[in-house]
Amino acid sequence: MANKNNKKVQPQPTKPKNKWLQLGVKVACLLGIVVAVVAYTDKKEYFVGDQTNNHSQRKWRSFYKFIDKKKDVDILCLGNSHASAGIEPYVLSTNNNCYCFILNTPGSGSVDLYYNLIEVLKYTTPKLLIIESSCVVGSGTLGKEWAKIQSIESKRGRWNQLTLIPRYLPSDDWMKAVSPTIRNHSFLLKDPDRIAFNRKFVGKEKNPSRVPLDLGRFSHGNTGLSDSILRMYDTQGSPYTRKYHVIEDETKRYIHKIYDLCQEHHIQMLFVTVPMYYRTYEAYDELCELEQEFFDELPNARWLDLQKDYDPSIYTRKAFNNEYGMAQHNTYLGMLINSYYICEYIQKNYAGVLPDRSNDPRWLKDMSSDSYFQTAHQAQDKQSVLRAMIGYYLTH
Amino acid sequence: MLFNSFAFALFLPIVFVLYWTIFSRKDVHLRNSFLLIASYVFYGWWDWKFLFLIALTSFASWGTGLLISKEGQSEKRRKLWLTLNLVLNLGILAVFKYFNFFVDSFCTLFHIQSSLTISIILPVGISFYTFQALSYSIDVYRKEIDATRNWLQFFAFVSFFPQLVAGPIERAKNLLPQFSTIREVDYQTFRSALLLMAWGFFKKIMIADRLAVFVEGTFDKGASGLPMVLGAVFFAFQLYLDFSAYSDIAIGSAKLFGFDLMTNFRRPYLSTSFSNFWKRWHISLSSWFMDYLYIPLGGNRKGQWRKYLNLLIVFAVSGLWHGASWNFVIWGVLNVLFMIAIDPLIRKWESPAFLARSVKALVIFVCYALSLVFFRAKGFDTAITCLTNLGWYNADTLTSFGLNMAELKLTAWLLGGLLLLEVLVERFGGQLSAYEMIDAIIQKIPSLIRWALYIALVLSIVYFGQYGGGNEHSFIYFQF
Repeated sequence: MANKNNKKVQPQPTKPKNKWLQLGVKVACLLGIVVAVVAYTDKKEYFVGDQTNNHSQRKWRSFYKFIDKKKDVDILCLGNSHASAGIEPYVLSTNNNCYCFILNTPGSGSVDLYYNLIEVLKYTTPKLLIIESSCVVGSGTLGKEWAKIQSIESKRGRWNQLTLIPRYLPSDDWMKAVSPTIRNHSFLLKDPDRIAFNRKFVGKEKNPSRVPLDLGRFSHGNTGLSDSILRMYDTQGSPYTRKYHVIEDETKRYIHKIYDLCQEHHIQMLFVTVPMYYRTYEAYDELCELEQEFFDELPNARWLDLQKDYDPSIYTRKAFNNEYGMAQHNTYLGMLINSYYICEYIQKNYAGVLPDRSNDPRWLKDMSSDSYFQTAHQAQDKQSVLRAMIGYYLTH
Repeated sequence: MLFNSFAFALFLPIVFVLYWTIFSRKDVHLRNSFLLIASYVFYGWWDWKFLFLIALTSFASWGTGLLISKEGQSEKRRKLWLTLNLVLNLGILAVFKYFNFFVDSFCTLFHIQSSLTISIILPVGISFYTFQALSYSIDVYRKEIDATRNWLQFFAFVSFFPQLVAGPIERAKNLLPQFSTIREVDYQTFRSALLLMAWGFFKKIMIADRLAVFVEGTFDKGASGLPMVLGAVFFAFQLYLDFSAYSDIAIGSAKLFGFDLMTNFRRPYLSTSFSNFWKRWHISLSSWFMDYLYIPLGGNRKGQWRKYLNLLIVFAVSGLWHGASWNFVIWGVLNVLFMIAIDPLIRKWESPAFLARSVKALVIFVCYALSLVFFRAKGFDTAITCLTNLGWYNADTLTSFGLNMAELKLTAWLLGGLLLLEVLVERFGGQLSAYEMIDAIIQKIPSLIRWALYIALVLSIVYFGQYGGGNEHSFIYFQF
């Protein structure tokens, strides 16, 4: 008989550790620490790129500031760099007694146009939407990756930005869009000076607005086409060849979505083609037909083509930036000429659509406090600008 | 779906959790069904239309296995079924991979102008899964394994996603039985699998992809002098690290689901002869060719000259397996020539000393790196230009090929560290791999330091990896 005192206490079977929980907690901890470190360097902005030329950010900041003051945008211009280099919002504003805003994204395309319009519609409903047509025609009109990311980052609200990422970008680029550290970590080896620079400016605005009210203009250069650039058209031919005569299906889809939005919100839609130097195109007439065919699918939209048969006595070589390529921009002079043509077109075709703010003291103050000569960095060339303006009025 | 893509980073955890929580409890059929669907999603992510091709290959090999093993079949009939399966599978491979190549070569040879070439996309991983499926039907024919009646099990075996697109090319006798049992996996296996995957990503993103930038710069821009020498050396390391990284991630991913895949690389650049090298490099393919081509051709049983001829055939076919280009064939043939010419010389120098082994390894590496110039260059003429451009001049232009001095230094340190590790493992690790030795050491250190190392490994990939800004590189062997 076993002695009670000697009875061995049977060890209770230990409950096996939950391997799932153990693994899950450890992996979560590891990832949590890594995410925290990345979030820290994101917050400190050590890895942000050069912000001094970030047009998108500056324009959207200005737009939100404008909206916060309970003002409305009457004419909204969307597009890529051709929009901001080809349209002078002050001219459109002052000639139509309304507010005109350019919210373009350089290098971007139709996806961006659509989501920019959606963002604007959260705050204000423009009466007229102008789309510069170069982001409709050609390959790559869905926009460049960096431009899309810049546009996303310019929008207000972190959640808003995060929800835009999957709409703009393929899944492999999501992390790059979420985190500047992931995107620009190569600065550590490639550009340590940028990190040193960013560290100096922690918490400070790196891209302050240059003017009290930035309506989105940005003009390129002011010298006009030089002889050496003109010679390139002789030696190399027209850079905008027939192979770029396409309208991508995705672009068509997004333009249709924009059109539907405009119909829904009773917004008039106008496509504007700002001109490039005529020899840029190999066969502009053919491109024109392609565009016309597409625009015909949008019965309530109009198209103002400033490229076709432009008057070379007005659009002299000084109206075009000194660059050779399929993306050639206007000088400030060219921009002004375009803008007066657009104003004339609006007055003829959209009479009564836009509100008259000429008696609104806030509008008067905004327009008088920021003359376009004063703020255009091409102001050195005032004389040729004035000559062009006088020439325009004399011929019209 | 690439292993180094965001889609895979979401796909793997979702499949892992569903697998272990719902689909892998008791029912092996349910488990295999889920794995098959997951594998088809993985493959179809690239192009769903090619799923029909992989299904056809699977069905043909599975059906052939059943027909061959049917009772009362005559030997002649068995052979006929096998031949039909070989013709079908190799025919698909020939059409998708080699049709244009053979037409072009034929026309060039006979100076014929032809417009017979077809515009066709090469299905990712076709060479890998075709060989895996073929090995099954050959093994059934040889009566080395029994044919499986379970189609689900077989389809899951052919398309098992961790090794579907770039191997290791598994044998049915190793992998197929793993689909018929439910396996319990413990915490240590999970931990070890994750660490192996992290090690693979480290090799791929930290080293191989950075080497790729310099290699692209030198090979595609026609570098000359020292940059070309460095380009050739870097490509040898890039290929090794890229492919072994893929294999590590594949083996690690399979481990997460309770499957064991074969080792594909065993420190090949420390080989002391070419015959030894091919037992360490892309082991799953080398052994496939050994078992299904070299030995059936007679191997080394029919005299020296026949052995050389057999080797020549095997390596030429192996070169062609890599891609439809004469450059790959030249690469294969060069390796046979090295084996025939250099191995006997090396064997004469019988010294176990470290220095002797190092010199031998260096000779093997240099020869192999030179042969890889044909592997990397686009076209025969380009390869010859690259080889003639080798030299010791232009040292001052090293930073003109995509990497600055800081990046080159980091790359050199990482390569040096990796080589040192491999030497240590070779010397002290026995049959362990570099990763296994790291794992063994890591397990012995205090948990706080171990955790610091894990975090440092992941952070180093995040902050110093070569990715983002258009720097993503697909795995090299995906193209085969």
